[in-house]
Amino acid sequence: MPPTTQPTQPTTPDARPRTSSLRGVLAERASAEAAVGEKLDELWEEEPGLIGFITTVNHKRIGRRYLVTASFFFLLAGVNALIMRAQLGSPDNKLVDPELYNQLFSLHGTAMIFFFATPMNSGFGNFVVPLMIGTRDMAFPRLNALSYWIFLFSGLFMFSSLPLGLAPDGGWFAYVPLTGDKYLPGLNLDFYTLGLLFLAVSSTVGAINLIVTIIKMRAPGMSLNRMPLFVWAILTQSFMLVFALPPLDTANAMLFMDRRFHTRFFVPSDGGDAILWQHLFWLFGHPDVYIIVLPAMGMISSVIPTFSGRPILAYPFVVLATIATGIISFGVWVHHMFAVGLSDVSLSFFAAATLTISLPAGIQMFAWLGTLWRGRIVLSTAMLYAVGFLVAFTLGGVTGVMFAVVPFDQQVTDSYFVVAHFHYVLFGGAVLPILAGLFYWWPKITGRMTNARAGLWSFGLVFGGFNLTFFPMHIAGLLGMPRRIYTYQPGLGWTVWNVLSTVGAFVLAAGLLLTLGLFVHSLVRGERAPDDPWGANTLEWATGSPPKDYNFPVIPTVHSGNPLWDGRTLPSMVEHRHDPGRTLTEEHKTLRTSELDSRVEAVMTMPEETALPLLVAVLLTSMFVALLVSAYVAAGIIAGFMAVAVTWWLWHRPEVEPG
Amino acid sequence: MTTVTTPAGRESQREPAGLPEAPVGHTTGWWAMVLFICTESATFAAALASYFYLRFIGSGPWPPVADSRPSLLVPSVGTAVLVLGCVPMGIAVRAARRPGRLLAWVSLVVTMLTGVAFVVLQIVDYRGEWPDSTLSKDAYGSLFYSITGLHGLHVAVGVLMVAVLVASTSLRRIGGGEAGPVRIVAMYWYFLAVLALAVYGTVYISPYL
Amino acid sequence: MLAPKQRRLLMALGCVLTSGVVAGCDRSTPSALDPSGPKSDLVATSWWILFSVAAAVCILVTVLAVVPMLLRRRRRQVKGGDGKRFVMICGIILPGLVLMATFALSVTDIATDASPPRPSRMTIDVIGHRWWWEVRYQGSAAVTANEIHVPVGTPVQLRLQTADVIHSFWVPEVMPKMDLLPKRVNETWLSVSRPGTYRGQCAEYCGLQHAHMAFLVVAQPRADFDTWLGRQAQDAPQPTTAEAQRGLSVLTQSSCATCHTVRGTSATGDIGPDLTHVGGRQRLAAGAIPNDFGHMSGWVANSQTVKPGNIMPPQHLSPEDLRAVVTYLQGLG
Repeated sequence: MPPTTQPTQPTTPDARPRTSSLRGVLAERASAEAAVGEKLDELWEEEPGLIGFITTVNHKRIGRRYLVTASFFFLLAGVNALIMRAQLGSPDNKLVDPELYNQLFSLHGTAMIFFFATPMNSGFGNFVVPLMIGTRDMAFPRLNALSYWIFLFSGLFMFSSLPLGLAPDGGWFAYVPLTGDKYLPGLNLDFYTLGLLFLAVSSTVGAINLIVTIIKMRAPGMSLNRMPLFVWAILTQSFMLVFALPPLDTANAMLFMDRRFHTRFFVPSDGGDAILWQHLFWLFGHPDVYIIVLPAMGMISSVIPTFSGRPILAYPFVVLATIATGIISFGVWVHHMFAVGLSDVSLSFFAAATLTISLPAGIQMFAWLGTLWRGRIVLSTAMLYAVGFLVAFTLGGVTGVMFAVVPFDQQVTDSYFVVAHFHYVLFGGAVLPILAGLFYWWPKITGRMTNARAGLWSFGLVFGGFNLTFFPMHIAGLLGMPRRIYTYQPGLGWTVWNVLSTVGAFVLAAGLLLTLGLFVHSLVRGERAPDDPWGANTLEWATGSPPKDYNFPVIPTVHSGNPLWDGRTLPSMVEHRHDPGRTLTEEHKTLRTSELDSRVEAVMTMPEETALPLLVAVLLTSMFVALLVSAYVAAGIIAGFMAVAVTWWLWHRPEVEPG
Repeated sequence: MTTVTTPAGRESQREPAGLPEAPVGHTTGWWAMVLFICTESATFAAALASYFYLRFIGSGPWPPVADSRPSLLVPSVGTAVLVLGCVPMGIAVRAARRPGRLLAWVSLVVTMLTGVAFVVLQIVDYRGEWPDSTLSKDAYGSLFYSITGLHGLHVAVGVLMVAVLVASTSLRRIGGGEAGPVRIVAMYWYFLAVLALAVYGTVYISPYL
Repeated sequence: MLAPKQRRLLMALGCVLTSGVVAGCDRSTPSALDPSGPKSDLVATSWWILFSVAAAVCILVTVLAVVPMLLRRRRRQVKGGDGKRFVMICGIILPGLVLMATFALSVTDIATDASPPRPSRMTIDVIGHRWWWEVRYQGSAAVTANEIHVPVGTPVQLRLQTADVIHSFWVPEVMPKMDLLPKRVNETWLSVSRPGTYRGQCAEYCGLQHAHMAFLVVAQPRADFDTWLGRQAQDAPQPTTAEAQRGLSVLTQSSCATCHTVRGTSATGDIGPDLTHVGGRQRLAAGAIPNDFGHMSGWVANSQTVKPGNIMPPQHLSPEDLRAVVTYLQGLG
């Protein structure tokens, strides 16, 4: 869905109207809230205490939970990495045995990709998107709660394998036939296949929810060509999830059946094939890189304009680049398989596709750089991380382009060079922006400011530690060090680079711990945040810090792509404060608008809080545990209960809309 | 300032504040079903692609065991019944928009029965194929049972959905002008019919080609 | 505040530049940037081209990102315009040209790599096992393990197969990777331009002892190679001492013979490596340990301490038997 018309951006962006504010509260919000705030508070307030905790369907609470839970899994997977780095800190080290090491790197990759990066983006999507598009909740609040609970339980399911000594040990891409029951018996790989299938339920449901929210619930006037770039990124990413997860699910289901029911999908001697797994896996796996990186880039597209004090350069190009990345990413998967012995024709084709996908990245890169040059810079912590991202992601990008030269790829694939490359892309391209996003939206999420000086230290240590950890890996790879080896011999010229990486990893860990401390400090003693601490351009900053349960007392009319800078969108909240079609004070309601132009179509009734999502998630969890322990009959019975619960759920829809 | 011109030539964008008199446009539920069908299609695309991949990656005969091509009679009848089930489903959608619930109720029940018939015929078909071909004998058997089984499972879910519609109509929750849920389930039902044709063409017909 | 970081980045880039040189002095580093064969030559050349362009791009972006942090903070007014032309030129046209050049390089390299400069006259079968390499010379009875001898300057045809899971054949100084796949034979070629010993290692994760699945490629002048191959094709030499004689009988009468072959004896197992000329190999256990009396004794007595999880069980031999077996094996040159 390309923008239908040219975007409208203020031609004199320096005239950034700052509304007069009383103790940080925007005058327009104060006026709108004075009119209807009390009534809405009553309607939207959720049960306090434990009951509220398990029944909530509020997108902000769920978003916060996503962020906290994903960060927790990041911490666990990070500790895995530190143990690995300690093991590799010296040659022939005996800190961990190969069995544990192989579990550590498999779980590290799986967890970082599936249980940290993707859900972290979902967390931002959940919290920020409804605020950014000017609505009161997600399209399906109960499904939203369900996605979260499933994510939490599947993450605990996956991580519970490590203390049991049964963590996946086939690498994060779990190549068959190694991962078949013949070579890796035991529950390790069953935790992997079931854990990922389990999580996929959450990711699919969450993606559909975000897409419907974005296309049906934008505030009146926010036509697609005025939609913030972060929302475009989340929309593209969610569409990618809808199409990319099925091949992974199919592959995992086949592997599970091969292991448990002796099907023959991946058994070469009986007509199966090992390369089929690789095709299916990477058909998911490469889009997944962009599923992780696109929202992160969207965060950068939020941070850079705000702290440059002007709209982003070439907005339509950036939108098209985002969509193009999503589409092309489905056509490059074979570059992960250049060493399996394919024909020269497919090598050349996928080399060309691989090069093509770097074009949209170039467009975005120069849109950001140009925005910096034409702006007035405020060097906040978020901005530091954003600039760090520009540098790191470029480095990860140029090594990615190198892989299109097929013989070079064959030389460095599965070596530490690739490990360096994808950490520049995933840590540099996703974790740094996620940190930028955290610092940027922290005041909105928590209502507290962070310490700028400590932020400088946080950035310095994280960025320095990151480069010290991962840059030497390029060199180790070029010097012939393969990845996934639990030890190496002295005298191969690898030791010094590994020592540097290990030192870097601990510097990085210190930086991240400091960052964690900084956030905790902010929660406890941080300064109160005003509504719009950064003078930003998008709608989430028109709400309170933190936002009220109903987000917007009055649904605004959006007049441009930079609503807080156009001088008309904010006043529209005051104008409409007595319009029942915008204040919606009768019940739990919000507006449904048209897909392209955001014209009002209907008033939607939103569901109240309920424990049903938790119940369904618990049933699903017990079903997967039953499958894990081969209790198939029990799993079938639980599936029956689940069907009943879901029917019950749909039966109690908040509204029945005529269609 | 952007203005979007409607076919009638009116400027509609400048002041989008007003609510339409009656709700218009697609509902969130409708969109959710569209996207659900998208992701399901991708799943079946992956499964059917795997079928052809495994068939053509080996150079031997297909199916690998001589003279074990699937019998066509039962699955042909099943597929035809399921596809024809779209007709009562379509009638149900139209009927639900109008006052009176009887026609909607009857056509929904007929739709449901076509789904049940399909599942029953599939089980009959399995009994015919077994034990010449089994899930664990070779990749062909694994594909045969898992693809048709996956589709059968989807039909079972569809039957459950239609059953809920039947109950809702009986309880006067839907129908009589209230057609939203029927439309959404109908979309899924048509999708099942399209899938049935794709699965039929792949699993039953293609071994003869 | 970013200046020191930028400097460090440049320093690190400099390290890459020098690492090739450093590695050149140190013969034991299997450096891809110190190539000794046409395939790796090609890659190394491409690398330096790619590296120069990449470094230029990184420096450009770093400068463009960092300078505004220093210069654009005291501005009164931001500049207007939506910069489409700037993004079009810098973000699409310039990268497009660079990418097209990269594609040309890629296609040229693929074509060059596809076939050896001269037709090869010799074919070697390499079969991956968890976690060692079986090497067979076509047209010869020679079977060896974890050590591939080739004549220098002559292209050799390789047929890569696996007995179990996926492995990947990689000799950084000589040739990029090629996977070993179940039920398939991947054919490729290899040529070494300088005599010497080159370290290779399995590059596809293959389970518990993936880290200890190395091998050596030994490039010899033609005459030396022919002598070596002739010797390898022969049966094991008869033991000449009483100790070695005892070793042979221990070997054939104990569990050794169920897994290992020593051609010319009754030991014909086919699970572990062929030991007919094991004494002449440089290293044991797929590169894990040197091949000498002490290491081999340790390995035979309990290989699990060296390479936990490998399928050779500890051998409960008396100290005398152990010494005899190792003496015999060490004598199999």
